Amino acid sequence: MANIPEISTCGNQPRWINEFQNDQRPRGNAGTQVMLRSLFTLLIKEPVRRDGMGSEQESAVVSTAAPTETTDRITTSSRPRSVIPRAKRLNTLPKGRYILLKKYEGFVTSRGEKSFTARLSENASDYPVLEAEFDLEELSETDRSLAVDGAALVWTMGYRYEGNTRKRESLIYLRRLPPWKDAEAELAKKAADELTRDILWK
Amino acid sequence: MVHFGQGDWGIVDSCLEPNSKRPVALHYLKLLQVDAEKSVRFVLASHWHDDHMQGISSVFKEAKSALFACSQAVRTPEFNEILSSWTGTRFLPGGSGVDELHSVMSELAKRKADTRYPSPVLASANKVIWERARQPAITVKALSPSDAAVLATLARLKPLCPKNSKARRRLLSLQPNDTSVALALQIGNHRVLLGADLEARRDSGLGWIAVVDGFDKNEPKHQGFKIPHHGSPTAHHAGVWDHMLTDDPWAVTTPFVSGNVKLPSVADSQHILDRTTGAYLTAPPHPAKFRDSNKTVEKTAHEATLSIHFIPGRYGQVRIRKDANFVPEAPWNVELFGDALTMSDYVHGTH
Repeated sequence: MANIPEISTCGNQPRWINEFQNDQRPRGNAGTQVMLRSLFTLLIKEPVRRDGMGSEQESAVVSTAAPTETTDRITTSSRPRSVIPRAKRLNTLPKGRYILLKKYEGFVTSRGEKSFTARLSENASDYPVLEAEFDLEELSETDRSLAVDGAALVWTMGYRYEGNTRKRESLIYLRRLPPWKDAEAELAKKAADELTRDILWK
Repeated sequence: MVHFGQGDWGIVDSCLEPNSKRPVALHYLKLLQVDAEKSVRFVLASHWHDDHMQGISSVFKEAKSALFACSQAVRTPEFNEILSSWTGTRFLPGGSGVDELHSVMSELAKRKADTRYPSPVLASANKVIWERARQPAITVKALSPSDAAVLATLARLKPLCPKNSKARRRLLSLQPNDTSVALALQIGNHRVLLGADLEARRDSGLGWIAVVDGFDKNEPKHQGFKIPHHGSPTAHHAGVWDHMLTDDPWAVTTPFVSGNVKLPSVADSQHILDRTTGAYLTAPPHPAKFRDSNKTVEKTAHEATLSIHFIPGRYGQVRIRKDANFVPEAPWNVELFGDALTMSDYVHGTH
């Protein structure tokens, strides 16, 4: 029988799974962390026997070799049996999944009768910046009247999944920012006074 | 940038070097191994449009012995209110140079308690911004804005101030730009006119008409001209060429690209060439092609837009020098770097 390469294990699970479960360090993005934890929980709960016969909780050895006819055979009870952790099939993906390829934010610099021009960037520090002219029809009917000079704009490109099909899309929308309030104007005046009060101009 | 000799430098406005994304002035001084902290005597913001203000706060922070100068319009309550309202908002960056100017003001506020720093200067017509007594003597004098220009600008600033229920939008550039600070430099016997973005207006109290009217026709003329407002016809005033400049002066300008506006146009350049043979552009007014490492993004972007490109697209430098001890009639030495070109080459499409 071929010698099966093994990765180290710890109890009932491979060590990397344990390490992941015990790792409490912040990972920067809570959403990503939750998603990863769900994925690994899935892997831990659903180990698949090497012959694909179903769950096998007692297994302690995980093969890293490509399955062959010899290594696929279930070993005797004296030897821990091999399982490969596998994710569930992807046909259970939630409806409306979206993969973002690019997101630009910016503002309208000018508007014509049928089109408008916007200045855009991925990050505020980007240089040079992107300038694009869009047909007004790219906006929804409700957004067209909002496309005036200085209006804040978002442009995303990505893949949208609907069932097992996906489509590439470009989405442009205008940010509906809350209007100015008198209190803000007052605060701005105060801040301006404090900032410039004692500067001794010549 | 102006090098006055003997280690004295002046910086007017700022833009970014596309590779390092640092202010061009600091990049250039570093290349020459000049210490900005000790050598820069003044930093002047001619006006607060984005394309003239990028990185100016970084320049000023590094130029610790420099005075800061800008239009006197910044001292008005309306401008201060705008300055504070549009700074630090996450979704609505100020624009029009407001963020940069706010950063400069913060630096000035820090320096105000320390007498080692020179006081900032509010520029107005015929006010001396900086001078050097030792030979060759230097005078840097503002030619604008006039009092009428400041009042006209205030009238345009007022409606921009935030008010209850008013839509929150990005602050766009004020047009026309009456408060732009044009400068007359005198270095020994040599004179140069820096036109900033000052425009020509019909009102005799505003723009280039006010400057030309205030110029003493008996004074020596300027041998070089930084053409205002990217060579736009809105900034052309025949009186400047007729009364303030020598015959066939050198003239240089920078390009501007936004939407369908590309300055200077070939026609504008031809008009400039009618006035002088020594006209130069730091780069042609061409945007850079849009590219993305993800080809799907590139394809989608082209499909979703009527046009898309990066601005500014091209970048170059024109260096014009002369020994300050030479007579005024001595020729200037012109060097072109990067995408810089002669206006003649631009007009004839030979670049």
